[in-house]
Amino acid sequence: MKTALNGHGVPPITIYRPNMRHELGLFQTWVVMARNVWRSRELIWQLFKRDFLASYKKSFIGITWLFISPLLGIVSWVFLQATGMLQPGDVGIPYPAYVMIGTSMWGLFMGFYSSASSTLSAGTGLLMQVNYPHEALLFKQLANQLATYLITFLVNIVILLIFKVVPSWGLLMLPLVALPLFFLGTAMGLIISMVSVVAFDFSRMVDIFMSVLMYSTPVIYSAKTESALVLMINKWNPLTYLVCSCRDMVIYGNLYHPKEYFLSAFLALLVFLVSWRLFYVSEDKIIERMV
Amino acid sequence: MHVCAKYMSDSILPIDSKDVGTLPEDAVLVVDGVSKKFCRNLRRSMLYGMRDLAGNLLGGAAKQFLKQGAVQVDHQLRRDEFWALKDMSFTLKRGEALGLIGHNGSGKTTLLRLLTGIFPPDDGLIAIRGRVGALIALGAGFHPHMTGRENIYLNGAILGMGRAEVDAKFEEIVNFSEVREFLDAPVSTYSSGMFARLGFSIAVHVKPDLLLVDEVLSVGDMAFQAKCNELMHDYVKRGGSIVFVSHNMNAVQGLCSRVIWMDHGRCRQVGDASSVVGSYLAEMDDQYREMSLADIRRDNKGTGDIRIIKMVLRNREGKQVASLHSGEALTAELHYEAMSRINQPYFLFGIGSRYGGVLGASMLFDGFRPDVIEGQGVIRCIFSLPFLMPQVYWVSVGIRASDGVTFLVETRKIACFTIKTSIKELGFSGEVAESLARDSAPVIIQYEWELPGGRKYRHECKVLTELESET
Repeated sequence: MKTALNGHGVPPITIYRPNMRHELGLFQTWVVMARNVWRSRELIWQLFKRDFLASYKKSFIGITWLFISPLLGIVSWVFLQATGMLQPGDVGIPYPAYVMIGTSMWGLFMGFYSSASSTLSAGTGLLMQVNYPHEALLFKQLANQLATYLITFLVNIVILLIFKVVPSWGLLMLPLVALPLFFLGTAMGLIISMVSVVAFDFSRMVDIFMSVLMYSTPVIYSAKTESALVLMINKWNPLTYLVCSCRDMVIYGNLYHPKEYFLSAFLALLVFLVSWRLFYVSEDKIIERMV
Repeated sequence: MHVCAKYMSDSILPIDSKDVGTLPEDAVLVVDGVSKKFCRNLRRSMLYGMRDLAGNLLGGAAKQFLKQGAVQVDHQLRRDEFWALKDMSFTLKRGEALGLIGHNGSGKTTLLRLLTGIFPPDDGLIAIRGRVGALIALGAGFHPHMTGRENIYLNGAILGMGRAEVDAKFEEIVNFSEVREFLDAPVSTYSSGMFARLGFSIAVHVKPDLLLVDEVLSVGDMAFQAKCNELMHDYVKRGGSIVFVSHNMNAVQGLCSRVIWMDHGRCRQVGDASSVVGSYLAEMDDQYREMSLADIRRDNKGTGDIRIIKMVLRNREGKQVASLHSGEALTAELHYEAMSRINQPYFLFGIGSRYGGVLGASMLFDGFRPDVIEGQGVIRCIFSLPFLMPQVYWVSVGIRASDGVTFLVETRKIACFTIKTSIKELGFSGEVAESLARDSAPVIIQYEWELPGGRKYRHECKVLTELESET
């Protein structure tokens, strides 16, 4: 049956009923969402181009900023350590390199979190005007994040070499090893993006908490610290294993406590699947509140 | 729940095979018992959002792990909630244009948003066969720094067209929008007209089966509006379906065969275009009269030296009337009380309709003035009214002091009357004249048409009632 104007085959049928999204089974949700992402790949690309290029078109420094910022990031840590005010302990490689790679990996996690958490607020106008799969917004944010990170990472490698720390070939495995970071960061971000629409104060608190969270992992200090409290926090914090494994993969080519790493990775995947499902079921009701 | 795999590949959400059955073969859109509620209070709205979210996290997710149960539809209103839409039902066939009219806030845009899928309904069912295109916001997602060309691809992707499709339709889009010279300039340099044209062009070339138009055509110049109108007519002729929301009764009657009048989220009247539009305009008149009366009840403003007691409207026989025939003379009789001796005041009487002042009698212009006013008195003005359209008219009064500037009584509306002669009696026999009369310019004059081919038509002002025989 052809339609008069489209000239296609069978026309698609769309149904809207209350609480439709709740009717989908758990597994089906993931399939539907994954399919949405694939089908909206052109849209993701277009939105990414719009955001990424537009933000650099206006500034003079432009892309150069991406090269400078990793260096600026570690200046304060290096200063504190070099002057002896901070005693991070023995880290095995020159401290500036250590802290740079560690904070870079942490930055990757935070990047996933912050891009996911602004999913809904970044699309505000468009969300109310046109209907399109909102998963596209999430992936557009992530694409932005990754593009920026790629450049930062290249700078990191260069600096490592300057400090005579040769990255191992394990660095090629980095995308795989960083996958749990993606799962965990995105999961938390998705939930917070919905919470920030209806309980803005709470999401602010979580943002601040997240920025402090870095201190619970041995990113700026050595894992061989003497404080029993810190050791305990490190041990029970899944992020420790995820972030440090990424760092160690780049520098040494091995995982940081592999057993615990895989457990944390599995946990991250679980959290991701649950929050993905929660997003699917709740987002339309949340978007109404954005009116 | 049996999921229809055949259709699932084309939609974001799952479809039950029994839902598909609600859509008859020739129908493009079925709306069945649809309701939508919103919360008035922002804080409370946020609170409900949090509750829904928490409920989903704790209850829903756990429920899903165990078994799939549909969440109950909530028919009650929580505190501060209201129904933006309630029990809307209608069907739209292929090649049909449906108009949606109603006051601001009657739920028209909400209904369109539900049809596009931006909001889920709180009750009922919406079924659509075919692609949906919405002209709710033109140029959605346009980035001002990107060029027209880039924005076409961007907007196209947002509206659901793949790259190949945009490539194929690119030339048509550019031709229709007439922005070819500026195609490679950033969109921030476009005029608002160009912006609207480009947005409209892209949206229209999605070539949907169902087109939803939400008052976007009021943006843009006359040429643009004419072009859009032409396109929509063409669209319907070729078998597309349109849901058209507008405040422009002319456009609605011209395009739509059926019209729904929405009032506070409910369907107030549905039927053929001219009768529904007619009822709507009749009510607008009543409301206008109420409004005018409300104005009248306001207090006097001025220096207080003169107090207006009342204004009485009379016809030629001297009888007090609230309505007149078109062409009849009107006597406006003002009863006042002067608190002190007032020298040479100026009286100003005005007559107008919802469009503003139409006629007037002002001593500031004509130079006639009473020498002295004191105590209670009456002043009359007899208007030889021209032929007027059947509408509601107000009468206003102002009194200025002898200096011609100070207001003893500030000009305000003080009475209203209707012209009750029907359109047919005035010699207007056009098909849509009846319902448009209330919306048109009030004064009727004599005129003549000279058509190509040589024929001439004259419209004469005469009233086909017994008034004629007296002159």
